[in-house]
Amino acid sequence: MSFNPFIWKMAWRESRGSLSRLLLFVSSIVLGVAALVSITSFGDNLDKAIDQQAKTLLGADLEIDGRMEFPPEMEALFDSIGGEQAREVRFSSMVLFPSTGGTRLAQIRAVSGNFPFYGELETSPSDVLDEFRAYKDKALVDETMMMQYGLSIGDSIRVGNLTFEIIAKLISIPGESLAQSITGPRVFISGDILDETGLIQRGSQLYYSQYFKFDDDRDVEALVKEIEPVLEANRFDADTVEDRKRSLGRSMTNLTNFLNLVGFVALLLGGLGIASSIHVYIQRKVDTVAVLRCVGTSTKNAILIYVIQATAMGMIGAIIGSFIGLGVQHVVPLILADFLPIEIEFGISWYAVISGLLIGMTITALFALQPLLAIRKISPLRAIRRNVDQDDSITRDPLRWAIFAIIGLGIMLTAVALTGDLKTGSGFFAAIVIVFGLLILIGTGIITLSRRFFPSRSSYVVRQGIANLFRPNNQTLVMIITLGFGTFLISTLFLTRDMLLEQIETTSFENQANLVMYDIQTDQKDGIRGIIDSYGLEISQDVPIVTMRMTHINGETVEALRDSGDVRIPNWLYRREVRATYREQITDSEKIVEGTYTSFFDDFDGLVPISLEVEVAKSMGVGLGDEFTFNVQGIPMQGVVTSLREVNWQQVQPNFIFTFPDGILNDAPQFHVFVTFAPDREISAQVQQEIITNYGNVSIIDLALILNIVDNILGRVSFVIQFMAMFSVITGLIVLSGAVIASRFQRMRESVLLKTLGARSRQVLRIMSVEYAVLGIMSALTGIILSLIGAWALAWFVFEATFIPNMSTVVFMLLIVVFLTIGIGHLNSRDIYRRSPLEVLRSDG
Amino acid sequence: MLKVEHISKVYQSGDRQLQVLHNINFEVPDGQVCAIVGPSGSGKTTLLGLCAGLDHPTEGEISIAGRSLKNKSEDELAAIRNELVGFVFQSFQLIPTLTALENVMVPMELRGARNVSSEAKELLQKVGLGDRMHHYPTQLSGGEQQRVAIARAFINKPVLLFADEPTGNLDTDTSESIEQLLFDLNKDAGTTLVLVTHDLELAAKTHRIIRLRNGHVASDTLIHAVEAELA
Repeated sequence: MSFNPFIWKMAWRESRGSLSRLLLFVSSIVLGVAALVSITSFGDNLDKAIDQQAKTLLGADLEIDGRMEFPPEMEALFDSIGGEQAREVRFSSMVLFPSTGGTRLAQIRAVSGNFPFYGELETSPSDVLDEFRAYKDKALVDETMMMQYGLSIGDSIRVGNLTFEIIAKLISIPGESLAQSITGPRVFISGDILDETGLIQRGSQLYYSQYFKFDDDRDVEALVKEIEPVLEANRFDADTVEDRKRSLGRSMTNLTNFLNLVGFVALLLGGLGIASSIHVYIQRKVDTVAVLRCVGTSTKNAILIYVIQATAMGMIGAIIGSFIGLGVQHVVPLILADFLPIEIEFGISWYAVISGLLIGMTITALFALQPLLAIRKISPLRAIRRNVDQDDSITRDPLRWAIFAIIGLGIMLTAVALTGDLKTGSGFFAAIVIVFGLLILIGTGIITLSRRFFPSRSSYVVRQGIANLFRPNNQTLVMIITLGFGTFLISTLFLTRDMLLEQIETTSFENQANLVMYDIQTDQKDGIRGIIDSYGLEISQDVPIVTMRMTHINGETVEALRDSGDVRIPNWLYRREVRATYREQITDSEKIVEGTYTSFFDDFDGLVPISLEVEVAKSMGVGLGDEFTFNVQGIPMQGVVTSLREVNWQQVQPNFIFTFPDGILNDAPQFHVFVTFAPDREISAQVQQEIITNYGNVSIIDLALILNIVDNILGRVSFVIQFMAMFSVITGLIVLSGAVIASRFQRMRESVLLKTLGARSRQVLRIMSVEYAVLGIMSALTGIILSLIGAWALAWFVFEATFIPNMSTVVFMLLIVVFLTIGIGHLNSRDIYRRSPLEVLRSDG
Repeated sequence: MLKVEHISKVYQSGDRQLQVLHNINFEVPDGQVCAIVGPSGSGKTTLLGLCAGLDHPTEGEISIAGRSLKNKSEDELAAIRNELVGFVFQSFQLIPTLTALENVMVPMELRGARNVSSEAKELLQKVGLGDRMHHYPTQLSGGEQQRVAIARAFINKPVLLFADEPTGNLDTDTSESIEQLLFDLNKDAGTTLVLVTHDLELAAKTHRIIRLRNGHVASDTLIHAVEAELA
């Protein structure tokens, strides 16, 4: 930047009369900067909180966990490790509330010892933990479940065969977020009487954790390294405070990165607003620039005067945005409350402020450059002749293409800086280019169609209103893109959420299943069948499940294969039991893609033909002809893959990775799953209550529960995204305001002329209303069309679902955008149309 | 001072070519006040633009104080204008966001001159606006704006002054005072003045009238009273 004092003086003097206009332009970026600063600052404070409260994340110094009961070797290991210890057994089970008769699938935590060692179980009332640990018949129940089922302190809760007294509401558990309770509300009971509940049965999916607290300064990481061979051999895992910090840090970083990118989009929209506003601003400065060129200002200096103005305004906008961001960061935890496992204290994150300032100013400078280049084309001849042609063609101006390239590079580098990852940042940049490209395409298409199918037979008011959108130097396309983008974001969220919920409902209805009962023991089948029959319901599926352990693949032990990596064995398959079934044929949710399915096989000495799920096969790198050895309740069984299956996991029914033919496992220890369909909520509740009362170990999933959980999760997630997306929407409205104000002079002249020719104020107002209504419709349509494409793409490529758009969502978005656009337009133009022509001309010079 | 040699100007209008000036030749010596007159469309404004270095001729060469404008870049022409030329426009062309004083100071500040304000104030006093120097153009009448423009035109002591219809937007009384002011200041400064006008009465007050018609020099006349004075 030149230090020629004249340039700086001129920049200041020239801006004096336009300060309010320039500040309005810059308000376009304020919200984007605010969003970035608030999220970055929140992320910074969150990192500090994670660091300070690290031990409460785990609740212990060390956790050893696995999906089976600790064998003697592990118990011996625990003894050798020492320290204060506690144990937790976690599993899902139905609970019954005797006072109301209600039932719910819950997450049972049977705890022995003083866990958590760090942090506290937050309960209401608060001083109940001693009582809970002393008396074995007490329970702590999740606050949300108590509210849902109308329970009070002192009420009972039945878990399996035992009834417990609820002595407190469970509000929070250290290291766990509220969102984790959505899928299964938590019930704490004493681990000492777990066996008496009768819930530890064949097939029960239990998760065992042993917690350790060390009072010496031992190196826990080194300890874990030392005991790793024992853990691996017994298929257990260790978790330290550092592991939990890293894992949580990664999740939170992913979350803040994602939110930062959504906020960055608001900033980009603001950049578009700046480009548009400066374009209009420069158009008004053409005469001034011509005169300056006449009296001897060089092209470079003429551009620099306005570059200084734009940069200064960018700095002011970024400062204001930073202040707002520091305020908004206090709101962010409230928005993310359900997903945060710890408390956060707030301080000013200077890193966030400085990065917000730099990014805001950079975006302003980048987007201002392009319209400022137009100054090069202003001829000094314009001072004496108004109709001097300027060659504004972009295609013939290589410098403009260079500026576009610089803008693109700037955006990509900023995205990489925000995410800290080149691949993610580049991917985001590509997505932005595609989305904005499509917005421009759709927006231009709509404008072209409007002009082609101009309603020439309509009334003057309608024709003038639509024609106003195409007045010289109109910013119609920019406004369509900014408003359209906000519409696209919000609309896609709503459509995707509707689609997912619809998918679950439709799948179930097609499947004729809305109740799945599992953990049914063989000797319970007849009794439960009797209950179901008594309500006139039919069991559509009776699925046997045999649990087994995978021990060898192609003759090699799975432990050896894990070390060698020849076969990629996923952790979840390695650490827990395989649940397989046997049947004569595949189900409706399956399709054989390779090989042949064997219906029956009973040669216990031969290689059992097994069917493997195709995606798991691909991920493991195995296929037809590969041999697996299983330990089926102590008996080894060898099988060979003879078919690969594609499974529709979204069907509401048991689906399996491994299936066996009928005949070979019929006599193996097993449990069962019943699938049935209850025609209404009342019968569903009654069936569930009777089964749970008589068979407490059986768990039941009903579709209403799934829908409720999914809706809950989607609601919380989409609320967060919608909050951030609002920054984009409001930015779009600010850009719209800016564009309206920028064209104020033109509108004023039009209004004066119309009134001079005899138009009444009401007519002039109606013309304006038509203009904004059409603009709102164009913007909404642009965003909605793109969101329909986006939601379809998500359905097809990600969720593998059928996309049927919810038209009420579409209409709702259209109406909201149109009304907002008309509202903003009216708000910024009302005085022009109410006052007399002469009054307006005098006041605005 | 001003040498115009074989100047032609052709504009491209769509797929047609429009020749506005045809082989114009004249010289304006130092200190002369010259009027260029002609009907609308005769090419006067085009010729003014070329002489001032605001545009490039299709053919020919123009020199100001011995410095050729041929093959000069836009920035080189701007520098020449700042150094040698002053402008008075029909529509005043004051920068609306600058005060009267600041408008007058612009040409000198462009050169990097410091402490120009005293000189600018003096000039504004001379044009009768000593008490309005901190007003913005919108706060001044047309005549006052043109006075400011004249002060601006003289601040950098140009060797050549161009005035394009300086009284075109003014009423008769104001026009007369502006004309007088222009001529007086010009005489004091000894500047060469080239005046473009369709007002023959104003033209008659100059030393010489070049009449244009359809892009040609129809006549080039020294006014006899001046001729005698110059003799």
